[in-house]
Amino acid sequence: MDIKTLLELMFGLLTVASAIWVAFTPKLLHAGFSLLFTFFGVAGLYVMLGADFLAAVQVLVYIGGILVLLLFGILLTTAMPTAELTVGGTRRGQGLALGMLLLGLLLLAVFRAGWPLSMNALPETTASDIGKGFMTTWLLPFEVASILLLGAMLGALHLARRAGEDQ
Amino acid sequence: MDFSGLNVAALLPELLVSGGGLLVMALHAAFRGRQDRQLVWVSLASVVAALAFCLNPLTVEPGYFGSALSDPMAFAGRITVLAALVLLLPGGVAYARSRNLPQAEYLSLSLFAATGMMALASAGDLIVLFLAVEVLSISLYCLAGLMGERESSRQAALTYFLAGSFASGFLLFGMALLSGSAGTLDIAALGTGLARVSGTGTQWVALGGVVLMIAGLLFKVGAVPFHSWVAEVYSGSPTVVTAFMSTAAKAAAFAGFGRVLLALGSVSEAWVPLVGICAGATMILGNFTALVQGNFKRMLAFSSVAHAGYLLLGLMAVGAAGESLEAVIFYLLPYVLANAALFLVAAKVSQAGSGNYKLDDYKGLARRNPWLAGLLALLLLGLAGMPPLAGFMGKFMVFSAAVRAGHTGLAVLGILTSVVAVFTYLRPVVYAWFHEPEESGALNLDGGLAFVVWVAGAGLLLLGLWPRLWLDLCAGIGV
Amino acid sequence: MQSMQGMQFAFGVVLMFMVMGLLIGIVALTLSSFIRPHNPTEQKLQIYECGEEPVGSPWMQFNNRFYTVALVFILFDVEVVFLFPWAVIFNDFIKQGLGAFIFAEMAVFVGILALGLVYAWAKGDLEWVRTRRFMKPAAARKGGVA
Repeated sequence: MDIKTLLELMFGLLTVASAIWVAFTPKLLHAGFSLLFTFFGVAGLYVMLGADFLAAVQVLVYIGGILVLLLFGILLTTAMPTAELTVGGTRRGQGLALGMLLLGLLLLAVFRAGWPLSMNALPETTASDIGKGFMTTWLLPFEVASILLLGAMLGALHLARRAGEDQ
Repeated sequence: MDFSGLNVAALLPELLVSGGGLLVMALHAAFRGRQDRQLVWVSLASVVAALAFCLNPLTVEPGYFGSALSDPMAFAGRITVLAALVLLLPGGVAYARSRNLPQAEYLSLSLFAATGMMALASAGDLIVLFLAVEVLSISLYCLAGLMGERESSRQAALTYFLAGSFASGFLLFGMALLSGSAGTLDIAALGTGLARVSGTGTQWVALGGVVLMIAGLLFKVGAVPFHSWVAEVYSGSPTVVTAFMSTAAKAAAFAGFGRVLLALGSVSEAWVPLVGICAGATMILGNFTALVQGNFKRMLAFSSVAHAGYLLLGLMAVGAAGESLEAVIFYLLPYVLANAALFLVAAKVSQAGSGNYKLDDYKGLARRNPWLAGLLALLLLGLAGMPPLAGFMGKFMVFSAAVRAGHTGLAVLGILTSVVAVFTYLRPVVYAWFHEPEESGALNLDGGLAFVVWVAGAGLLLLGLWPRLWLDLCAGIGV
Repeated sequence: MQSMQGMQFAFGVVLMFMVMGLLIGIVALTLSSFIRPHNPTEQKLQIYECGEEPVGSPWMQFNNRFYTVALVFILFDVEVVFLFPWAVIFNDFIKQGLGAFIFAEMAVFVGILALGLVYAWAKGDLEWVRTRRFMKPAAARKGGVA
């Protein structure tokens, strides 16, 4: 086993184990912190797959931004940090069935699919290709993303403001 | 590098509407909220300018390197969304003002949502489709929670957000599998991409993607079995927002849905049974649940579920060769007109009565305002599909398209459930005309609401009598 | 054997850095635990809070402003993510004579997001102690302060 396979396994294990922890711990705050390792493991996997830019985004946005916001959300809500979640519950069977279906589909995608656009050689870095894409072919999604972010911020600020007024 | 494919003009309506939203935000910030009363004019100006550009398109070439199309589908979707905005914004601002909701946020979020809806109707590739869905959804989540002090509004926003995020996840996962196996993000090229991999293992992955995508879209349009969020969200949101969700958002979602299914016509045997079962269940459940509601807003919510069923039937016909989206395109406009006006009327009548949208508020409405009662009857019968109103033509076209495509059983089911719908819609009409009023005194409409109701009523009549007007207009664009 | 190279090697350096950082902490504490005296008393095991006796639960509610600021931060976090690939190709585009074009594209993007900051600022969302100026005219007139 070479070092690459070893690292891939390590990151995969980290991702899966911490994700399981997120799903099954009754403590919300623990779930939040465990998500850190899930995000980090996914970032590692991105690097192993040659997606350097995506890995940087994963760390910058998901760990540095979204997770922080999520933890703030937990800590800012009075009862949340110490609340015990009910794990499982009545819909366990349905959840399991849906999860199995999605897992089956993923396994199918991994083992049976031949992607028409697969590349033989990975590009050394992906940032410049992504940049070119944003500025040309994918210009519309790029600009729409700014409206998306602005709308989300506008609404979230408004909702946060409302919540603050209640006290 | 070749930039002839940029063609910004193809996207001018969207740019104008989103620009209007940005301007509203900027003006609100610049004037520190002192000029909020004028913002509605800014918004309406941008919407009307967008309408003008739609009706007189500078270009029919796709813009932004194929990301934005301007075909009949895009045209119809844009016009429908903009028409809903024209009807809803003035009434919505009056509603916001009377309930002390923030007008600037209402207006700019509505315009951003409309941008997403229009982009969805004209999306040429899956990335734009997804982003457009997200723009409209996220704006609507926030709009649903606009009435923050009220528990039901907060709950509506949260329910909508959770259900919607779940749906977005399915949609995105499905898109990834589908575009990966078809080797393209271009919606129109999905069919040929799938044909290339048919018979291989990839085919199954692609079909899984198709199913997931359809599930996500069914969620977004509120069809059975993914309808559980509809009642709570529609009845908890501020009424003008509910009106926006059930009209413009639904029209745009169906436009996007139609575009995807049209591209997947070559694998129709995979999704037609699925959509068929959902369409049948949606028609039955929507109509029967609407029938037993004692609350006008909830009744409209479930009736919009029922209409989603009819629209799904129209989409199924697309799966068969040779059927166009004409029936769906036609169905949407009168549905949007009638629903938008009815929700605004509901807000008005409820405010003058019980305050919680009871059907009893409509008792004796004819004595208090005969014109309003008459127009209410017209709008409700239009939704029910009574000739000569446009709702009838819409249903007729959908059912006949379904029969031509070989879905006779579902068409019959549609006709039978339409009969149930007639009873649903007749109840407020009977209350209005044949019951004694519980409250006396005239119920006067302000100018804005009267305009909306008259325009919607006239539109229903006009489209019902001359359906070709609208269809020819749509067909004349982009061919 | 496929060795790590190029981009992945660069990330490998980062990974090694993190592993070393972790190891230094663990090794230093473990080693010192062998030679340090071990003599706990009840007083010593108490939570140290600057010499003060801790009062109440540490799970108190934080100021909502943290959330708002984090929200605005994410906006610009994502903006930086979009700026990065743009900056990488900026020179190429200038060489092709398209510098103004992609500058305008990014200016639109940044401008739209900057409007969000202006909005948050004007609304007083960024002020730590907020007096409401124009959010709800009716409430403000009655002297309502958050």
